[in-house]
Amino acid sequence: MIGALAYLVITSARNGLVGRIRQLRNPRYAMALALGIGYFWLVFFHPRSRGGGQPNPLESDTFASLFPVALLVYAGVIWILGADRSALAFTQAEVSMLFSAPVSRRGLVIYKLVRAQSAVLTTSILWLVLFHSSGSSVRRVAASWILLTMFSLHRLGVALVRASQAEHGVTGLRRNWLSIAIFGATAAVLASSLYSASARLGAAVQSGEIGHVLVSEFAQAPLSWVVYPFRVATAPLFARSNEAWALAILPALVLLGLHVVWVLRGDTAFEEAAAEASAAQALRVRALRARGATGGVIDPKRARRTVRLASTGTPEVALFWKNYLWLLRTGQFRALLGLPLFALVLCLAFAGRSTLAEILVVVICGVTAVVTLIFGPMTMRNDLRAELRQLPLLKTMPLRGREIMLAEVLSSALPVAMMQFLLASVALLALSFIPTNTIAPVFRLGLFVASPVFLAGLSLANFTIHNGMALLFPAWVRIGVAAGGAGVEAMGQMMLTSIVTLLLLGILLILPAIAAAAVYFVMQWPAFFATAGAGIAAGIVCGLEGYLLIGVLGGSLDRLEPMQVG
Amino acid sequence: MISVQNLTRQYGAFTAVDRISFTIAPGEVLGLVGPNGAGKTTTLRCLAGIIAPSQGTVEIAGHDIQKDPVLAKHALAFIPDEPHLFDHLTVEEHLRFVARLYGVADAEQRIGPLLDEMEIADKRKSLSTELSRGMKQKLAIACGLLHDPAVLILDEPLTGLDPGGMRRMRATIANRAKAGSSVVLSSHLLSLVEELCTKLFVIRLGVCVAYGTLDEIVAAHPNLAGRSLEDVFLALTGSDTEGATS
Repeated sequence: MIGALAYLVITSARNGLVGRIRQLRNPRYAMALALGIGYFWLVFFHPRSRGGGQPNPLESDTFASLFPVALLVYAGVIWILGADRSALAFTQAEVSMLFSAPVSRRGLVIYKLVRAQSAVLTTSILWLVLFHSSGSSVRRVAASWILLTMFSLHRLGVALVRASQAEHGVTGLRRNWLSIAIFGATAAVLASSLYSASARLGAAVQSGEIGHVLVSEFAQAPLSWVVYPFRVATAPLFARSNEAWALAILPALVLLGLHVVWVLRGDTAFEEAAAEASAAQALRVRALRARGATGGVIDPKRARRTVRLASTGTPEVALFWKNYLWLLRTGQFRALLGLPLFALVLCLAFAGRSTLAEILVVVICGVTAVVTLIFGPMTMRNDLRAELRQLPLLKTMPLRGREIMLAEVLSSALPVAMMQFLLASVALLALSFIPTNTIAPVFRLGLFVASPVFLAGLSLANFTIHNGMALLFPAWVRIGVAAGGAGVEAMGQMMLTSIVTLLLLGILLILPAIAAAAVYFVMQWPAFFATAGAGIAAGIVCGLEGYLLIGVLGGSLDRLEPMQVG
Repeated sequence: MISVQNLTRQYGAFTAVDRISFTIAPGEVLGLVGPNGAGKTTTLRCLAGIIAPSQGTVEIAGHDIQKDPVLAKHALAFIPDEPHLFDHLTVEEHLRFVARLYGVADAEQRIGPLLDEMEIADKRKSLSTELSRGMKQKLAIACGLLHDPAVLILDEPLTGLDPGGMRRMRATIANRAKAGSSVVLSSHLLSLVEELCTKLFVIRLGVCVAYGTLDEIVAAHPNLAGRSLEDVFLALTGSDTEGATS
């Protein structure tokens, strides 16, 4: 039976590889690969880029000390919130063929682990490329591979423990007493230690020394005990010599082995939990394929409210209307408004009472607005990326490609721009309650006036790039499925997509920056008009670039065929 | 009407459809039949504008589907065997969506009778996910018929329907043809093809092996005279292994 599973893994991997190599016959894919390799070589491996320069912050002692702490937090999140059940999920074909076949539970677990290895290895290599540093590449890849495999196993293990508890109640808890006891002890030590250190940590936040204080706290017992396994897991990654790596790799391998034993000795309810998780995943995938985006399952009660749509008028509005209804019915629209409203309440509640609270509001709003610029397009996929699997349906609509493209891109771009505008507005309002802020009211007013145009233009350009990537490289870009859905295994693809899209956005922002600078510095307008004019000019140029790009991409959509999407 | 001239579609070195030609006048129903992998779906997808022909032309209501895709698509409805619906829209919203896409000014007046015809009027406020397979198929057909298309392309339209639904669907297709629509019907249900189609197009390995009315086809193959459509089909497509061995 192991032979059959090995055959499945090997032939699937081989066919996948052959498929990817065949894609390179397409000049578009070949050119993109050549450009990508050239770019990474220039940035990371060119002698000029490697020699001298700034020290790599990812190799600093502080980072090496805090990285295990970050992993500890991540593990805590997995335990508390629950590893997402996709860790247990098999494809529907695997469920129907393997679960009914005489395959042992252990065989299924091993198969699942082995199947994830190609993605883990790819991510490890990408880590090496992206976070390149001195030292042996083989050492780094091996260290990353061990770490990622360990976390893949950890997610699976936690998912099994939780599934066991859900399936068997107290008996399930008793069966997993050791892992639960370790988690409980860790959590207790962590909570009590952080509580006793809270005064020092609070002072460190004020003085900006939080990094060093955290390093110092976690270097002392009992916090050092808690973080020890994570230091063991990450030690090979930060080893600076062959000898140090050899010393670090053995304990890491032992830890990996313990994880394997833990998972393999997991609960006998594996098949049930896996089947359930697989069914849930299939439902999500079906929802994604039918509508796409983040896989929201619609509550029929939400469908009672609707938005009227006139039966005549610009036809592409129908697509926007349809996508807007999806936002409403999956609760995403409410989620988009939630954080700005929360920040507004916080801002007004502490107005004139707490400067610290207002600073916090500004930071939360600012960071979220920037984060949504980067991660917004990954989570908000209520656009063409979600509907490419429905390409035959799109192609029969009496619309040009550019019309479809525009309606689809706006479906995501406008809601995100609206959220960013609300965040910016709240941040500007909170700034006005901070006596020490150095931004003059006229500038703030200028920014407020410019922000809707600027953010709409920026969002249009940003989402056009993401949709364009999916349209031009459907075999490389994840379509429909939510980003991050497959855990650490999918990180490589996410990182690569993010870097490429941010790079393209950076290029696209050159002209808007020039336009903004021209208005601000050349026109010699008063401060309010200069700020507002510069922001509006940048937004208009950004939007125009996005619109022109949509025109070009629309032609590609007209030529795209369902087989190319897969 | 539909006019197909020398339609060829290749996937790399493989020719899925090879220089086929046919025309369908208003009121005619063409039965597109052939064994699995014969090129039926490729042909239908070329007609609907989902994929582009490698060579040849497809005209829908006088508009070249490649040169004037929007005008051509305005005149057609493609109903695939697997209904493509949106999980988050209700039955009525699907029809409103289609009405806006095709600019159906009198949608209000059409939606009610159409839902009655498809027997899903009581489900108009239900999400598509709450519908059975057959009801989804009916909704997909209703969406296709809402804008009163001049050309109707149907791929296995009876899939998932109960016997009563099948009977009503046959009547609907016949009525649309009587009203002047040109219909292409692809199905493995030869009884359906025999009942509804005024012409047959038999395709095998991407090549037309017979085209015309059943009488014309039989006249061209005298050895098939007096035999059932199933026998004719099997003989023409080379699937008649029983006949071959006997």
